[in-house]
Order: sequence, then structure tokens, then C-alpha cells
Amino acid sequence: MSCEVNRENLTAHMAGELAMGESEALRLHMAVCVACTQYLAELERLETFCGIWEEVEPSPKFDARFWAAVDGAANKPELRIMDWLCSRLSFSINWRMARVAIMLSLCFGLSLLVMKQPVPSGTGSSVAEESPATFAEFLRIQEEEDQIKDFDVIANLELLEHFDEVKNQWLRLPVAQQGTN
Amino acid sequence: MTGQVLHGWWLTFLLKGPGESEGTEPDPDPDTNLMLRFTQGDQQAFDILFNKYTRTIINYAFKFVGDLGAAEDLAQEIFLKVYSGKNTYRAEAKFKTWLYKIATNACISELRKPRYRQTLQSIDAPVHRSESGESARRLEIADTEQNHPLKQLELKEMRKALKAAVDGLPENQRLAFILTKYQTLSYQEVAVVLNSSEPAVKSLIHRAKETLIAKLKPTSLNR
Repeated sequence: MSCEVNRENLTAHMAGELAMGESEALRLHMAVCVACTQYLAELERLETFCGIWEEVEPSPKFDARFWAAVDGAANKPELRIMDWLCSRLSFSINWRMARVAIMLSLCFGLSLLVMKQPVPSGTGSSVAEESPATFAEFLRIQEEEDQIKDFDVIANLELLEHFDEVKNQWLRLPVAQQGTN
Repeated sequence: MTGQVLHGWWLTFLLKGPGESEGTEPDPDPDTNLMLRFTQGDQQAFDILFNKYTRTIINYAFKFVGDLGAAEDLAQEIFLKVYSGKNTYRAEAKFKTWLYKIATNACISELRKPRYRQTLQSIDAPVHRSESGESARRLEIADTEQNHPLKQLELKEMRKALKAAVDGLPENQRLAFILTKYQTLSYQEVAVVLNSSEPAVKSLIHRAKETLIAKLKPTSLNR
């Protein structure tokens, strides 16, 4: 038996926590090991020394203070949902870890948002270089935009400077010709 | 219905034997029984437990915070948790280990507050007085029979050295050491309180004592 194991057993033996089989081995080692015998003496000195730590007596008002706190807690109908949930589920939350987890989730969510931002509109060639499918989409959008612009001009013909002249010429034309134009 | 009851009784009889055939077998630990009675609404049962463990728990907290007022505040918090935990209490472990689990968690949380981190660095800081004006230091002097001022001073210094050495231990070693040495818990009970195993507790206590010997040997242990 090594001295380290023996010393661990020695500490347990002094606390009355050593099994019978181990006690015999300990006795045999102690009979031949001077260093462990010295360690035993040190342990005994420590045990005596530790006895000097004072014991305190509760103050006479402690009981009254406690029962006042119990009454105070009983009169405060505070519903703490998380505490209730934890008690039902028999686990407790490590709030520090929970805060870290929330912060990490927020960071992850933000990074996802940033990644999903739309591609900035650039020149057709640069879009075409990136991907042909995106380029086709880009052309379609541009075509739609042009159509919207044309429609806008037609809808605001009244605003044109020479609208009246155009209109009169249009009205003077025969009905058959109006249809073809 | 009667058949089902008889069937259940026979099963219990066969499995447990004639002496243990009662369905509501009382727990061998009297404190656990008291707590179970309290969960069923027996207020007196809690009073008995409160009176039995008040001094013990205050002293346990005192070993960590070093001030009677703060130790009483902590003990109050611990007993409030016991009181309010009556609806969730399950007699899976002994009441004593359940109580020490609550107490240990409360003490650890308290020690992680910034003011105790500072206290650990300056052991010489003056002791705070409790609400009743009775400080631990006064008790410390009162309980010694060595009334000579020099002896008192020496004892005070030795206690300070011991507290500093214990405070300097890693958290688990300190808990295991205090629980076995001052709260007289067995290794098995400490293992339950610390959610650990008995061999681990054995090792923790051994290492704690080795460190204490190394720290105290040059000054206090050789006096």
C-alpha cells in the first residue's frame, strides 16, 4: 500500500469511516512506515487545533424574526411563474447560465438576420456574373419596372404640355383611322 | 374491489415479508417523519425541526460568513425555503441531508456575492455587529476560560489563522471538511449533500486536511 493511499485511509479511520478490511491493511502499513506515523501525529494536532473554532448561540430574537418573515411571505401573494414551474418540474435554473444562453441565442438570431439581407441592386453585368438565375430575375424585374413607368406616363397624359393639340388632332381624324392609330 | 385489495396485500406480503406488509410503512428517520407530518399540515412537527436545527444551521452558516448577524439571515432564508418547500418535499433522502443541501446552496450563493470576496482577502476586517448588538467576537471571548488578555489574544489569532486556512480551501474541499468536522455528517451524507460519491468525499477531506496541515504547520500547529 502506498503512503498516499494509506494517508487517505488514515484520515477516514480518524473519522470512523474506514472499512474493516482496510483497517487491517492500515495497521500493517503504520507498523513499518515512519513518515505515515509522523503524518498521524500531525493529523491529531490538526484535529485538536480545529476544535478552537467557536460555536455561536442564536440571538434571542431569532425565532420571532423568523416567524415574522414567514407571516410576511404568507401575506405577499406573489406568483412567480418560473419558480412554480421549476418546483413542479423538480429542477432549478442556473440564472447565470440562462442569461448566457439568452445572449448567445440573440447573437445567433441577429447573425441570421444579417445573412438574410437582400442582395444590393447593382449593374446587370455584376449580377449576371454572380448567377444566371439571379440575372434572369433581375431582367424580369427591370422589365416590370419599365412597364410601370409607361403606365404612369399614359395615366398622366393630361400633364403633358401639348396634350390639347394632340387631343384635337386625334378628334379630327375619321373614326376608322382612330381605331388603327 | 375486495379481491384487488387482497391481491395487493398478498403481493406486498410475498415481496416484503409479514412484518412489513403495511402500505404506509413509517420512515426510520424521525426527522423525515416529522417533515412528512408537516407536509400533511402538522405545524408542530415543523416547530420541532426548527428548534432542533436552528443552532446547527446558524453555526454552519457562521463557518462561511464569519458574522452572527449574516449567519442568522442565512439561516432564516434556509428555514423559509424548508417551510415553503413542504409541498414539493419528497422523502427520497434523509431530512438532514435535504436540509444541508438547501443550507449549502444558500451559503455558496452568499459567498459568491462581491462583499464576501473582499472579506476573504482581508481577514483582519472588523467583525460586523448583529442586530442585537451581540457579535461573534464577544462570544468568542466569553466562552473561553482563559481570561488572561494575552491568552485571549493568542486564541483569537489562532482562530483567525484557522478561518483563513479553511477559507483558502477549494469550495468542495471546504464544504466536505466543514460538514464532516463541524456538522458531524458521515461521508455518505456528505456525498448526498454534494451530489458526489463516498470515495470522492474521502479524497476531498484527505486533500483538505493535507492542505490545512501544510498551511498551519509553520505557525499554529507547532505551538
